[in-house]
Amino acid sequence: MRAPRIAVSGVGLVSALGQSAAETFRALSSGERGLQPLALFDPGDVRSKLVGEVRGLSVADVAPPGELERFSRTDALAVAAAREAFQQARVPRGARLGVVLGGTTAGMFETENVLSSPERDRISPERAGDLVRYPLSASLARVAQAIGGVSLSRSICSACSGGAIALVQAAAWLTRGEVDFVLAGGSDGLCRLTVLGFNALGATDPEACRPFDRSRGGLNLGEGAAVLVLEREETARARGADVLAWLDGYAVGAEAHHITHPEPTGARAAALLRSALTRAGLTPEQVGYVNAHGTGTQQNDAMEARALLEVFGAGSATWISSSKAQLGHTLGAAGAIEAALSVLAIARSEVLPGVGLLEPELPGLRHVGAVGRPERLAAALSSSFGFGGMSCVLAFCQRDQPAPAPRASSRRVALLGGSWLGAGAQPEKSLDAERSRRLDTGSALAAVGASRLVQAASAPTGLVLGTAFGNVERTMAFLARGRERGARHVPPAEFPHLVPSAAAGNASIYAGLTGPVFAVSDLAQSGEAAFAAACELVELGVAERMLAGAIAPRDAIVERVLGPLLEPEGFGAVQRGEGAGFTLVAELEGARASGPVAAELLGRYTGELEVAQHAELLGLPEPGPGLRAAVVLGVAGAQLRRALADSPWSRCFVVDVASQHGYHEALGAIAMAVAVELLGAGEHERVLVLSGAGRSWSATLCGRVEAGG
Amino acid sequence: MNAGESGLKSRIKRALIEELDLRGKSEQDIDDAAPLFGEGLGLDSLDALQLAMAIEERFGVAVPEGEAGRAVFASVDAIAEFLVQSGAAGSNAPEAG
Repeated sequence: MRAPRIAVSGVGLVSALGQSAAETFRALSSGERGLQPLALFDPGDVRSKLVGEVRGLSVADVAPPGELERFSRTDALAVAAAREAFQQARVPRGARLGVVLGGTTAGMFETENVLSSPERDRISPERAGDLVRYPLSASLARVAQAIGGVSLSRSICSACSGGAIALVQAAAWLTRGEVDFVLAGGSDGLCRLTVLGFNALGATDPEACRPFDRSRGGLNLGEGAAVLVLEREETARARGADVLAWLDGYAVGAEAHHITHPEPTGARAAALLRSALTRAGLTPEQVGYVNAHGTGTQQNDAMEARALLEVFGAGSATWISSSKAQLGHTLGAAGAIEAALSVLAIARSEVLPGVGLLEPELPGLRHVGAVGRPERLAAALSSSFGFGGMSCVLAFCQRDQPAPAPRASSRRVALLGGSWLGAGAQPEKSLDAERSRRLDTGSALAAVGASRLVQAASAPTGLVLGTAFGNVERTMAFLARGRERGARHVPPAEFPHLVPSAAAGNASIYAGLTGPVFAVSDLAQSGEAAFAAACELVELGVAERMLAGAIAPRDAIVERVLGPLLEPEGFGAVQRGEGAGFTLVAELEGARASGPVAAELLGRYTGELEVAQHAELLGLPEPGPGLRAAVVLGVAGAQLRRALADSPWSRCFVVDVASQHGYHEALGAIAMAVAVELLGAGEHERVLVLSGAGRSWSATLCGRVEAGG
Repeated sequence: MNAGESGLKSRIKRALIEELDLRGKSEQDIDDAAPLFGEGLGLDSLDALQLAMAIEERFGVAVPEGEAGRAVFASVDAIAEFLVQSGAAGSNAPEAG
């Protein structure tokens, strides 16, 4: 089967320069800046109060009736952008829809008052409602509700590249045929946490920022959202959709260098740019425009300018600009906003300006001036480089451009090993003290899991890490210090560890993981989401080897206030636990070439619970006398046990992971790791992993790979 | 070295260990004259920011930004000298937790 070409058929964008894509693009093109002194809240004594705030955003206008209390600013931005994109694409009623959003702050603005209040140690379960907007995945629920018909969703955090990685995830779903349309993008609202944090790092410019200028002084924060509608070429043609551009290439990777500093030579960034071009079948000369990451910080822009010069060469005709000079750095939304702008640049034949740039960092790059300029573009790139070295490059082509060489739609996935840590594992103790400074338990769990399964000399490996929450306790301490002692007294080195993707970034740096690295958050199903995302990247050919895992470190606030929100139905008497699970997956043929492969992925299903239906969907042979099969239960739900009792799988050997580990958000990841180990031990030929919560359940079938089979 | 000076350097080292999360290191492991950044303790500019905030908190002095600030953090000796010159050495400013 050939992989389908992916079309962009709708764009929605909310920014400091406008509450629609057209308004934002027009203002950007004229060289307008959306930077003004912060009005949303008083941050106190900070280095820079200049931000790209979405003035006039009314959460009440965006939220459906009766839903205002659950809506955060980030949710409102996401829903507004999603509605615009959805309407522009004219997505037909009843279509199978997916939603994937990148972000970092979610409902932080709405919850940080509770988190930093003097009563923070006594948050009553009744105030759980105030914190319901906190998890990263909250916006997915709001968008799904506002749009309707959503059957698949995922939230992605990779610091400042999440909004771009969301589009790669969308391409994977469309290629697999799981859905027909995906709303993919990112959303991030301004909040005290990020304003205090970036100022404490000295990363902000008190004046309007000047990306790629030699005298640049840092970044300005911003907020906003962009959502793009993606669909397969076949769908777009059949319904006569207006294709704005093709998403023909993408590359995701990590630097494994430092939690805040980019790898200074730009070599990794250059490799990623080239990889995206290769996938899109483009030469550098065909790329008319790069909407660069260009934050305005010394380190990012120096690194990025080197990478661009390396790829495009001195005197290249490729236009380069960063829109952050006008919109501010919108963090988890930036990758999506800049992807949207790259698509619009192609569709409107116009490159956007590089405002504030007088003397370029490096001679030889072709920077756009203070206003936009008409230019017919065959292709454009959008690049994102996040904290922790988590990066993504997207390549878009003009709609008349020929398609890149066909490639297979799916590759087989080998399951190479599993590892897990249970309660009281004390992961910090098995890490090198010097290299694990500042790592909290969650990061340490991830670093230990990664180190156990990945040898330093092995092929480049990525990591998708399920994290239902960031470190809530540490975030509270940071915010409380800002509130009690003032904005200048927050600990700068703490801040990069508060983003929900910190544990993924830390593990990547500790274990030297240079493949795609990011976090996914899907509350109780974060482990299942991580495994799915890792396999999808391998199937799609974006990664060769991936770790899939989830961490559930003990966190007092989560236990007391947020934990009950996650409890699955029929959960009953099982204790809440803590732990982490990891599985190493790889492309099957490549993995075989470098060693024996014991097990492979045979099928996956996510949806409502009906084990018999799962078996049918997965094409399972019924386990019987001729087939030694086992079931691993990654949840202790009574409902699941009842469904299992009515299926042929009830006669199999059953491993109940929850009874050993207690209930927590990484249980699905532990169940997966146990299944891979069971197959490796050779006693069983098939293992079915069942896990999930609420109305969403996962069934994953794994099998032994016979020699030469 | 007089008792006051040695007590000051001890406080500086405690600040380093606690604020920079120098796991497994004790005051004895930190050489007064050795460079703190790059070679030596292997600290980086993120640590420098954290240290600047900590020194300001613990000793009640303002640490200059940029190059001048970097010179202050060259070594434990350099930090002690800066604090003596700033008149903060004998300060009884409360230690941050």
